[in-house]
Amino acid sequence: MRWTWAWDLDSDPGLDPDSASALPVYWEGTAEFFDGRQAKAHVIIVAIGPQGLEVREGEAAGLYRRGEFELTERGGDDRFFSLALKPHAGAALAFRERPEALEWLRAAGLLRRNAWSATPLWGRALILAGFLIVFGAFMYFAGLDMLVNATVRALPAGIDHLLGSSATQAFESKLIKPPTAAAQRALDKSAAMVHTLRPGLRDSIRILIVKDTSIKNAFAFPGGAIVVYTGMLHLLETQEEWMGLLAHEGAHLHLRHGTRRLVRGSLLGLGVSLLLGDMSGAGSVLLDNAGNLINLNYGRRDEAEADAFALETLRAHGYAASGLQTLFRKFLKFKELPGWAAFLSTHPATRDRISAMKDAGKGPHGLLLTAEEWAAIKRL
Amino acid sequence: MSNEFPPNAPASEEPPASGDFHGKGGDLFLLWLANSALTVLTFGIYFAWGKARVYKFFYGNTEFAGSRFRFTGTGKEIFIGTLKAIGLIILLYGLFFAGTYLQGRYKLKAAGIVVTLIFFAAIVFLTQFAIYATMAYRASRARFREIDFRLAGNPLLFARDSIPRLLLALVTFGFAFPLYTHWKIGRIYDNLSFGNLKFAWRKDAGAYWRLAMQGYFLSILTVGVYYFFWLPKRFAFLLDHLSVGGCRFRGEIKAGETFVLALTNLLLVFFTLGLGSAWAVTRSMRFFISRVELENPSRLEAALQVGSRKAGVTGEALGNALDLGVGLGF
Repeated sequence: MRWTWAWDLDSDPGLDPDSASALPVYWEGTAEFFDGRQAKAHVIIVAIGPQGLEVREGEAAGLYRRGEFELTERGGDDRFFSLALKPHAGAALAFRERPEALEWLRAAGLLRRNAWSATPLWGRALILAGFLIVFGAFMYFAGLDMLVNATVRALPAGIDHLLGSSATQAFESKLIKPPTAAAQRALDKSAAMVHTLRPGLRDSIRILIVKDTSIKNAFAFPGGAIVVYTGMLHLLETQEEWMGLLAHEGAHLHLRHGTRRLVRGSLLGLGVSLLLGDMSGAGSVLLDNAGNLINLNYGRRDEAEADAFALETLRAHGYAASGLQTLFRKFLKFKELPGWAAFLSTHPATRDRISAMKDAGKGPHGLLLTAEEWAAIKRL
Repeated sequence: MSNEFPPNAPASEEPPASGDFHGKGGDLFLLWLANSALTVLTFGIYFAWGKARVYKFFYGNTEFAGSRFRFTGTGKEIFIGTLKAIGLIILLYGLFFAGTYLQGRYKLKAAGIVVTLIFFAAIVFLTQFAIYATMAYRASRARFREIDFRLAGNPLLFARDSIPRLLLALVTFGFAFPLYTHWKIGRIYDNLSFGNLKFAWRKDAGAYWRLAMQGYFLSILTVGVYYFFWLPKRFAFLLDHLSVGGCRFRGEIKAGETFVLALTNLLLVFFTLGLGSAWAVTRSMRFFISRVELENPSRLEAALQVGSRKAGVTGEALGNALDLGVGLGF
């Protein structure tokens, strides 16, 4: 049974039977024609020449010029491709195992050649990897900081308070209330010192003493809460060490390190999820851990920055700045990660921190508390 | 045409048509890499176009009865749909947080419980809505031999009808879940059509439930070994109950080859730290698609294009945002 065109050849703007037979031919072969109305394939003869794509079935023939047909998505496989015939909505020619036809269509300039798809696989991989490396390097060295700074600046200080308040609630049951007026006065004076280390801090400082001698630690929450465990208090021998400790934790508040860490973590998480796209499994774990390592690196940088801030501001206010260094010397007896694994640590190596403070003993020697107040703190 | 399930076909001289998948792992990996790079460089905006490219890759490389599928969706529509889905989710979470805030502020414990229940009910409802809408979108953007697929039916009604079935699954501690799955597959296939040719699903809830129970319990008892014997049974069951335009599907996979596929994919992904996922995916696609057969495939040629009504993309984007892995288990 003879197949008939689904449209009228003579009146079709895309078909030109008179000019079709006069074309020189680069390639000739068969393709399946679908008219877009029924799922039946019609095998027809196709010829590619300089003027366009000639299609023939029996005595009917026609010509589609450049722009009257376009390549549909092939899924990356040149062995199969189809051409949508624009003058006839839904109609298409499907080519199976005819990669040379596609090459001829491109060589004849009948299809726009996509420079990207023409690049070999390894070339595309290299270009993309290069882009990612350059972009990653920019983000690592400058871009992430810029984004974090801009975001933190845009966040009102009230956010810090909101972030910190829920975290400090966890300690409420273990808090020690200052038992004497001297202890209360000492804590008030200490909080005031932290607040005035640098102007502009909107948080009100609260120093919370948590009863747990097994933990030798202190930290600051966004919003102004500085938590000191009694384990850390017992480690302190001098008032200078107390001041150094508070100045260090105060630096985290002045510099909004807690908020910055949260923003940075969120941005890194967002970046990783964007990067993952459709990837899953071990690849996602790998990238996720890379994000965590980057965050740890920034964490170590924050600690070093807080050390420097503490030294500088204590001196500027006439206080003794040697305490932080002597306190760190006590940390030397605690086990740390070996040097080769320093990248896994949340803090810089203690030896490095001490050596960065070699001039800490120089400068003013002012103290904050009276002997009675300091003794009250030690008794907590 | 009706979507009556056809009787066993009489002996036919026409050989069954089979499927094939031509996608290469290297191409998919490159596609993922390109999508990741461009998505990062455009701060996430490109993801919609990247997703369209991934769909085009999978559809364009899937061949059946000598013809390829084609994805006709666009990145632009996915992007717009995603914005709408995000807006919907933000609205939902906003209502939830407003409710919990008011509960905390005015100490309305009962109101808090109601808000929480409404929130989770809304999530479950939206999830079911998104499952159907995702399938509707994917079907309406699938073209084969220049004829479009279509999933009729209303996702809202699907979500409404799925809730009692899910509740039943909940109160039976999951024992009734296979009944929901069976109903879901049937609901989708009974509404699916290729042009004017309708798909049909032969309902056999009892057999499916027994098959599912057998799979769960024997897989547990055999520390997972039985799973590789169960998977071929399920694959054959699903295909054996499915037809399109009066042509029945069938398919067979063997336990041994399923196990080898799973093991080699696992090793491939593990030893490449995940980078081999693209190859694992394309190998699996090839494995399953090449084992699907359709009897009397020439009947597909009778399919006529009907209308051009397209399903919206918001539901699909919602499914993506809710991280649903929507599929029918093949």
